[in-house]
Amino acid sequence: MKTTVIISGFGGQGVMSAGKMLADTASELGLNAIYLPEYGPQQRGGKAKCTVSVSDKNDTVYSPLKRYCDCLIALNDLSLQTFLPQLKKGGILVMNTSIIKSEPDRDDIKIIKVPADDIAMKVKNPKAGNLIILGALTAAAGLIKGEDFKSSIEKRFKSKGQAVINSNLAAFDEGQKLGKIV
Amino acid sequence: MAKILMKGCEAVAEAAVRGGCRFFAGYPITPQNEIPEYMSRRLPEVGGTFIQGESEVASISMVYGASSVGVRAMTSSSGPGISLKSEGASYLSGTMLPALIVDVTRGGPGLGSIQPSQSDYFQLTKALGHGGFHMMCFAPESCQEIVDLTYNAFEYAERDRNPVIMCLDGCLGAIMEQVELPEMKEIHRDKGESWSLYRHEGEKRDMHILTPYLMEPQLEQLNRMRAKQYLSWQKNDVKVENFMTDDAEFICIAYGVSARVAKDAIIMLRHDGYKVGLIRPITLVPYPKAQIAGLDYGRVKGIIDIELAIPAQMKDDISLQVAGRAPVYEYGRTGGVLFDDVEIYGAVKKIIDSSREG
Repeated sequence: MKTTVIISGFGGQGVMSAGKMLADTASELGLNAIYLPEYGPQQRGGKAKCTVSVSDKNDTVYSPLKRYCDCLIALNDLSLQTFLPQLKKGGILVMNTSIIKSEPDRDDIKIIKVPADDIAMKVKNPKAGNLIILGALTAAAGLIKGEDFKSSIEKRFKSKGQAVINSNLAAFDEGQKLGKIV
Repeated sequence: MAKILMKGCEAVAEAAVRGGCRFFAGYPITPQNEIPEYMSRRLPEVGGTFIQGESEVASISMVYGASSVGVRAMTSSSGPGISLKSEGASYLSGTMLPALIVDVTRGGPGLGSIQPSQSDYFQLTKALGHGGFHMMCFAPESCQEIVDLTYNAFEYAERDRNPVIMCLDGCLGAIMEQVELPEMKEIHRDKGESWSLYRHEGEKRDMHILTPYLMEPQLEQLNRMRAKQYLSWQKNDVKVENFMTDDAEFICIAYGVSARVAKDAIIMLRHDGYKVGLIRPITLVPYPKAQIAGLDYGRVKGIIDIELAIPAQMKDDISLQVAGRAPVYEYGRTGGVLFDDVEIYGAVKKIIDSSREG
């Protein structure tokens, strides 16, 4: 099994923390994970991209630098335009329709539209856009079980208290619902 | 022990601490800032000392000072900063003091770019500083290998009384992977090292570190000793990985992140029926000369040097060992521009196809 996920958006959207969470969870489940961040000198508003490759021992991903991905998470228009050609045929695109207004011009992929920022506002957790997107991705890709990801969220946010954990779990569940429909 | 996810820069720092490093001095430069950042937090926890020097020259000079009293000392930088530290590296070697120097390489020459590159091969393997000396140079490909090699780096440095270099490209410094960390080493210094300027209570011995050699034959003796040491590295300390080379007609040679990209490309090429393999030098000094010289050139039709450097810097070392028995090709990107698996697949395929036509 090997899966490569590209996550891209602008700085501040939680691109890097989403990638790290994905790699962390895969790692906790005993899978091999490689997380490669790529960003410029800007802290906010600049281009942000990360690549996460998950594989098991029988079928290893060696290269952190991959041309094609199995899943693409695009959080803004530029990311969609830039990385859509790198999504494999039959791959999964999760796009943040709160920001992306253009339509992806491919009919050979699975498309999951997630108005992540709107949902985040609705569940009163404005920073959780990336968790909603990850919820949708994991539900659609079957890469990591939703339950496993949720226990990882609980561990990760333990120091922030139960209210934060619950709010993040709720956001993740909203994403899961959208991912399961497709 | 459980595996944890760690960034390459953090892995090198933590492994150094577990390997006994108790002194770090450095000066900020991308893409290695996570090393001093980590050390500033970690070293005080184990009774060590972290100093952000006022410059690169000051930092390596502090390492020189710490090492001279028997403390396992380390510094890190990237190309432009390593250039500044080269004087200190030469002094460390000239005065026979151990140290660990980490270079997280970026695009060069000059101030270059902050993006990953393998631009410092010449600098690290040929002459990091004046006077004609070598340092063992390790080039890991993964976070786990960073840990394993760094953990034992001080043993080599103290055995040889010479600094050791760890060469990480910026990509390797930034990626996060699972690592299994070894136990913390107990370093006993109850009796001073013969080279150390620190004298324990009751200890009676001469203490001096010789900087200028006013007796020229003494300096000649040191250099003759070093020459023998370099030969012994070649015999005993080479580390190299062979990947699918047994039946390979074309051999790629690559180190660090380039080797990993090449591995995925080779798997794709094998799928297409191309008999390709990879030799990965893990030590750049000593270079795996015998492994390249000893290939079966009846079978091997070509060697392809893959580097994040243009022109390829390792090619001369390869060519010396191939000695005209097969053509040596090169493929690379430079200046912080990276290649990916598909690009290397295409490039190697093109080289093989055109060599067959030609």
